[in-house]
Amino acid sequence: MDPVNGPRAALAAPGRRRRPPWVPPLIAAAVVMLFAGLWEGLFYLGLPVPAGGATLSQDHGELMVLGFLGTLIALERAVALGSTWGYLAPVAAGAGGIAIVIGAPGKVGEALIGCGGVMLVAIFAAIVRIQPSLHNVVLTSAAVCWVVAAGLWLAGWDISRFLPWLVGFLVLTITGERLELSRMTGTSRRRRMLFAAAAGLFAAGLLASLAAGPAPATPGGPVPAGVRVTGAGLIALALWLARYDVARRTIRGHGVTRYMAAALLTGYAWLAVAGGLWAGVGKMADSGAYDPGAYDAELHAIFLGFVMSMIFAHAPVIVPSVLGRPLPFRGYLYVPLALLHVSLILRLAGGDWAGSTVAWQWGGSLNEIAVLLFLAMAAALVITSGRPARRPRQTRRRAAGAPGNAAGPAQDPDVPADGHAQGLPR
Amino acid sequence: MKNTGDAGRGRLDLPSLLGGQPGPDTLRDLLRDVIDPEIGINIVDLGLLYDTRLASDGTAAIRMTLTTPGCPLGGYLTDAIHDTLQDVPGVTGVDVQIVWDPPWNPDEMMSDWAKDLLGWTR
Repeated sequence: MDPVNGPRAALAAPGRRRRPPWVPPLIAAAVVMLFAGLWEGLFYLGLPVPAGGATLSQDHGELMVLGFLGTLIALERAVALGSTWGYLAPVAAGAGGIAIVIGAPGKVGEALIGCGGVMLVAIFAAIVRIQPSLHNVVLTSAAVCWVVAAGLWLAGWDISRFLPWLVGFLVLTITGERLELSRMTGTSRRRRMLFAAAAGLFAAGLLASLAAGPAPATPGGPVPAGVRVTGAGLIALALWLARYDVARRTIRGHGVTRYMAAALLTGYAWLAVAGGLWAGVGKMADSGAYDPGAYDAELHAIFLGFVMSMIFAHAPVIVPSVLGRPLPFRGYLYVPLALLHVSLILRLAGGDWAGSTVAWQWGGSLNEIAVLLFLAMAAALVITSGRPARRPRQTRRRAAGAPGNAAGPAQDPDVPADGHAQGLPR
Repeated sequence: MKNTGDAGRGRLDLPSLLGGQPGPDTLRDLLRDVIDPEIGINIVDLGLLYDTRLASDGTAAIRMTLTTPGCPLGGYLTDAIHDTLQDVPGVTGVDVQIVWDPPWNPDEMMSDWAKDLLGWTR
């Protein structure tokens, strides 16, 4: 790709921007990993389902974060970069994830996933070369977290010890993007400095977490200081998002804009909850079965409450960008979003905090149903999107009178027939 | 590249009307229907659209940028631009070029209207 002039999309009607043929198989691989991870989630919840293989049952967290999400995030970035070599990142992550699912011998899966992380770092290095900026450095740091996590996984560290790095990959990816978008609400140096301070605290926690070493935490053992510092960093980042994120403004919008903002803001609340748990409890040990302690809450507040909410938020934009097919917004997409958050409250409050196994299992199962429901709705919307997609609706209509509008595209069904005529006075 | 948000708005595009082909201002106005779905504001007021031209063969040449080179919205917006312009009389094709020079600068490129909507602060 030309470093100055980005991807050029020469379009001869009725063609649109072409996506490489390997994009759909990569998405399919990610979905397979999601299904495998959700299956193991049911096993983890103590439901009477087959374990699905020793490797798979041990690697639920790594598979969901580096396999499923790693493949999708790397694919999203490769599409954005527009260079063929960039697709090596999602291909490696996807192949590695599938190797984990099928129980490939040795550490082929872990190694491939690690290669995917290295390639993602290369993608961001190319992006930083085009546009050196704080947000792109943050996004590059996120990819480095992936590499560190995969390296510790390969080296045989217990997952409870490198969990902060898995979290680092996702949290820095998301907050880096939010920092970038926040420029639409202002560009003051103060807000960038505050973000840098919050992210720096978070990164310091990640580094300090390494001091705990590779062995799993022992019940009643000391709480790693790094986990608490990481938690403080999560709280700081959540506060920054609550103060500066553009979703605070776009929640007043309509349709998909409001939906995305709702998913983002509720996700930020879970980020703060997770930070509080990490900083206040700091426990990072898994008993291997139902653990009424904080481990389950610490993980799923962030991976489901924060990260999955971000996925629900961005799917209506990312899926069309990556796949080249519209995912028209419909109001019923709020249903899985609400179910995700309500069931997570049930899981954490009723199960993890109050100690009810039934609440924990119901909450966890409904978490999975929310994810599957969203996936099914999104797939159905993409498949049936042959008809004209409902266009996103502008926050408020500008005054119109644009010459040529009569020959222009069909109007948003949400907008009154005289929407243009009404417009907004400047 | 200060975006006042008024470029071409309400101006009589006489050559366009006489020639049966949309002029640059008309194309620009049409692209106000291409909306960043997350922000809810069109690409013109966000300052992402740099240049619009119609070649003699009817190809609409669109030069635009994204907020950052890693922005995953490129494919979405490119398709939306195509869908917006493909049925416009006089347009036989669409050529969207995404450029990074000059880089997007919200302070200078976003319209005052968009800034007001987003509660712009310095």
